[in-house]
Amino acid sequence: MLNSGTDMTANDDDDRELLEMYLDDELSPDQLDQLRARLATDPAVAAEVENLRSERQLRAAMFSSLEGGEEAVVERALAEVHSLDQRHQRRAGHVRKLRYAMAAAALIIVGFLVGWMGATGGKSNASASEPPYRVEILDESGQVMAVQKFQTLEKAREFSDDLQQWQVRQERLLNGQVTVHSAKY
Amino acid sequence: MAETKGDLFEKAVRLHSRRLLAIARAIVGSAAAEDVLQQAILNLYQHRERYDWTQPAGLMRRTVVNEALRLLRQPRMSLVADDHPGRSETPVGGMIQAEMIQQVRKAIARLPEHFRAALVLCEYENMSYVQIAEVLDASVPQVKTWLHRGRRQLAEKLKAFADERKLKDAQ
Repeated sequence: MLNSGTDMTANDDDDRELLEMYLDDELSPDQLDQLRARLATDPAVAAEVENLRSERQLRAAMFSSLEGGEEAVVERALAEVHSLDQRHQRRAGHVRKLRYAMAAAALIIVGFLVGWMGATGGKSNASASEPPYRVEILDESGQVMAVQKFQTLEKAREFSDDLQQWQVRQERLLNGQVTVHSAKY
Repeated sequence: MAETKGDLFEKAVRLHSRRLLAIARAIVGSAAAEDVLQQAILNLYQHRERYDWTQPAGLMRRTVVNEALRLLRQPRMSLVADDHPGRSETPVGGMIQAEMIQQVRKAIARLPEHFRAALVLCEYENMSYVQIAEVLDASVPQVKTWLHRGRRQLAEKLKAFADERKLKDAQ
């Protein structure tokens, strides 16, 4: 049987746990039937349920007393959220502009062509006095954007290698945004 | 036009913040509760695209409880500060004295953090043991134990207060 206050036996403690579960609506149907039978016949158990109920009522009042004042907190939190959002959008805008600028720069050198322009070959407008080797810088559609001429093949290759390395660096920076459309030697 | 996740998020925050702040106050105390709620809102916002905002109560409650417990686990954070003035009128009106409620708050503040969290979820949020176990990442028997011990410790503390009060009145 349940005693009042805190002078409890082990059985009382088990009983209290059972009664708490009853008030928490956590008893199985069998447990509920058994407890209802006890409540009908044992006034001490019924009294303990009332005691636990009043303790719970006090806690409910305490929890309710913690409510209120949330408006200011919510407004501050949402202001912070909006500010984060704006910062994020500004940063995204900057990154986008930077990417466009880098992509534009990279597209100028999407391809290069090293060719021999000697008297027996090459382009029709090449004259015999011009340096025989040239590196053409092509855009993505294959149009010649710039031409650099060289007296030797080694120098032309060296320049073209430098260009290629530069382009690789650009591609890495752009994280795959630019592809090489032609790389002819 | 359909509401965006951002709109639904803001609506959910406004709808549930009253109870969420009370939960945070019950677990970490009033001084830190605002930080807990604010951080929880920011965390939810950052991942808003992932979540279903049609039923956000459980998600928001779990985020606040986790944030409160995380804060308590930080080295310097310990006991609940009890400076929230509380509402002037309680649901049971004059039947329960404000002083008694203050004592309950003080007593709850002295409980271990998981006892407090389990109690507020059970008795304030009316959650089942299974749901509480899920939020607190614990087993159902653990939750039962926390609730039972928490309630017993509270009863003992309040009994000590009542005895002290009787003694003072008698003098």
